Amino acid sequence: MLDGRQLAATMSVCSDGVSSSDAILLATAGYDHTIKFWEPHTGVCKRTCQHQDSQVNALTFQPDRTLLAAAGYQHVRMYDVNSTDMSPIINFEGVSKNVVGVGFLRDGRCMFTASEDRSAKIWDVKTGGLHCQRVFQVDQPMTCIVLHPNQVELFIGDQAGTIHQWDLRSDQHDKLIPEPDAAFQHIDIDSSGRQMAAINSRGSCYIWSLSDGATDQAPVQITPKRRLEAHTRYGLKCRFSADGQLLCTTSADHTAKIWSTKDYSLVKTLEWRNKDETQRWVWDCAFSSDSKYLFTASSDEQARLWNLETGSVVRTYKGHTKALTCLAFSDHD
Amino acid sequence: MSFFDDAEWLQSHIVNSFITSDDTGLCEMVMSSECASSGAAAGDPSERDTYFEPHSIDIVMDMDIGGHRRRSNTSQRLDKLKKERKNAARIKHIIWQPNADPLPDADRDFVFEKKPIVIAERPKTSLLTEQLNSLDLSDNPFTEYSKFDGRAHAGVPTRRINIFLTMAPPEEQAFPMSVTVVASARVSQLIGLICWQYTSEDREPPLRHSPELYSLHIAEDDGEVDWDFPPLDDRETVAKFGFSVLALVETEQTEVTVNVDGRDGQDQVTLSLKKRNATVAEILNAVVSQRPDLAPDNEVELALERADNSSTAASPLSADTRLSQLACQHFNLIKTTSARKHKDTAVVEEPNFSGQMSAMEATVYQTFKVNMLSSLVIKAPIQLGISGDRVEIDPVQMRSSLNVSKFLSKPRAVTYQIDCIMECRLLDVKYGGRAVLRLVYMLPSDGGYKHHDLEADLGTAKEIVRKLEYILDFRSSMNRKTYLQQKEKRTLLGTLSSGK
Repeated sequence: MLDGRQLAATMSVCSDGVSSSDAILLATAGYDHTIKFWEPHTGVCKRTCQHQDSQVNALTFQPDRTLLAAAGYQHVRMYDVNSTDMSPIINFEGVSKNVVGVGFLRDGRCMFTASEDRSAKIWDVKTGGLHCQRVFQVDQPMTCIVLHPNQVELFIGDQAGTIHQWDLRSDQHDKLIPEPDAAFQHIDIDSSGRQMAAINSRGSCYIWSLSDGATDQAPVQITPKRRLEAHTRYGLKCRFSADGQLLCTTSADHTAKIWSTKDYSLVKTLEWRNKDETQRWVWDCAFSSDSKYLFTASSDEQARLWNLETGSVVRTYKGHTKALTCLAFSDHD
Repeated sequence: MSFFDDAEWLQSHIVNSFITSDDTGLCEMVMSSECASSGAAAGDPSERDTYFEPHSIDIVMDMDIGGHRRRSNTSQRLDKLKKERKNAARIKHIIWQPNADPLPDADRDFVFEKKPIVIAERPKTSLLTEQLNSLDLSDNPFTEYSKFDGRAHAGVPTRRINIFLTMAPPEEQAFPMSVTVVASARVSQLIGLICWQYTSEDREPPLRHSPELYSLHIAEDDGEVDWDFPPLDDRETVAKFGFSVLALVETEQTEVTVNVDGRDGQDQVTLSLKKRNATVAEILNAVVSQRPDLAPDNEVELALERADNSSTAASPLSADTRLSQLACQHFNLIKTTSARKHKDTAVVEEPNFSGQMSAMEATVYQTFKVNMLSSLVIKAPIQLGISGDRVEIDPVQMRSSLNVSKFLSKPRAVTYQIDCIMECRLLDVKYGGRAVLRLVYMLPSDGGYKHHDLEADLGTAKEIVRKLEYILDFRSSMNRKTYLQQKEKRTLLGTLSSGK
């Protein structure tokens, strides 16, 4: 077992591009049509990919961490994590509007997307064929999508403030409308599949507890638990930490807030302020797997790494030339 | 080839062959000026056979001296298109198709199987925490320079340079370190980047802790440092140089001796400076700290003058002159009264005084943000780009949400060849440090003159005027001479008529 210092040394030796021996992956993207890979602990940009003709709405790593999926206008592009190439290797097309959310089933075989063209789609990543291809239509443009850890239920938010629950096995679907006309911007489910959080454009964050259905085929039961007035302005993202103990909400009010999921009390407000500038809209966030650190991506063209114990910025990732709207992070296999 | 008996023709032919076969452009820079002067010195030109024009008309001293000769735009664009096509061919496209044969219900259950929820054992401390704790940022004091690493950028011009490391152990010296740098970085930042890469690659021996202690020298392909040339000026941008090989050299300690008139006669102070760009002011401070008795008082100020150069009259050096510009290590300390100093600095100008532009600097493409004043009172922000052979005016997109701007005529993007530019002068200095300058140009169609009035802050305005004046003086086109003559005539007439 290498100790940290040796590891850091071996990692920085292979400085050409990003390599899979880099156990930690961090990618950021936004409006400047580029995706940057960073070495998180040093703050050094290792590679820049081009994402032509479109901003990036969402980023996520494939479960086996060999591909990075970037959702943009009318397409999802996949980049090889282990190459130094600037261009994507696969381009998924056939969506007429912005793709707003992208994710993978745990086995990496299928990818799911949600789009402003009112459809959610399941794509076969491995073969590109039609075998597991599925589609689900709603009557409003979608805003976000998340997969329940049971791998068969998707939760999709739309601009009218509805959350759709779509069962991939039975094709059954259900609706949840806690607050009409306030679009949910992001939904997240913790890794144990016990709680779901969703943040809307008014800055309110709803928490539900989830429980298994009566039978194996029955959908997950949703029980309202809590409503947090998390932010006074537009809410953008809410994410659970890996251990489910913390919830982070980010907003247009230039802050990210950390909540304890035990009693939903505010643990910390992450604000960054210089003498004449502040952090701008905080668009995305990601916890480290031990919940000690948090990455944020902000409109001020920078991503930051926060120490959650002290609330201070530990690293700043500078290099983008326009607002950052999304990031992807993975530090475990 | 007996009829090639004209020695001068042969010499010129050889020179031209050198120039045409040298891609770096250095031969062109050095030789075309040399042979021009030697040609002028040679005897009566009428005696020679005029059929053999000594200079090839194919070779025109062009303005982008110093760098690589640029390839034509078309071939660059074609190359780019070709590359894009090649890249596009490698991308696999998966297009959504309606599935004519959807999964039967029974299969759906099989394909999308409900999985048990695995709660992965998570380590108490993540890899990230471990790395953050183990990494002391002071391990690599050059981290701030990593942002100039060209490998981490896309769509930005970069330069790949092989750097020979003269501090490496002898058996490794033959192997250069390849560095890719953003072309817009300065040489000092390139040195920082080299130090960062060197340190992050764990090379031995460790570098000293400041990039200021290193300089870049021109080197041969085999790594031999060309000591005949001074180190690259660290304030220049990398883009200006076309070198693919350079050598990183630890700056030696420079011994500087200063002769002083102490109370007990002539004396000498020896300083050893480590910084390659120590200024005269820093040397003075060092002298005073060694010899407190010399500290200046109200009446007297201290200055340095060169002690090694007897041919030119010694004159005090300005305080921000850098040692590297002087190529001199012996100085006299002189005491000047404030009055003398003022007089002297007004008269004497250091040849290398940093405020002055060199031919290199003046012809380098540079952009300025200025406002264009039109006949209406509206100001339109534009970008003014000046290079050795043209002046470009590009409108800047206004961010204002007002629709008013749509109705007003926006300045169009125009490019003027430098030969069409007649004059650039400061027209008016306004309250609040703004200045208006006038750019007079000739219409190539009918030879008439027109002008643009541009507004900028005083510093920028002065810089634009100076830069353009330099380029114009350098080019001295016929059109401009005519213009200046006409102008002179007009002013003469003006003074005459007002005299009456």
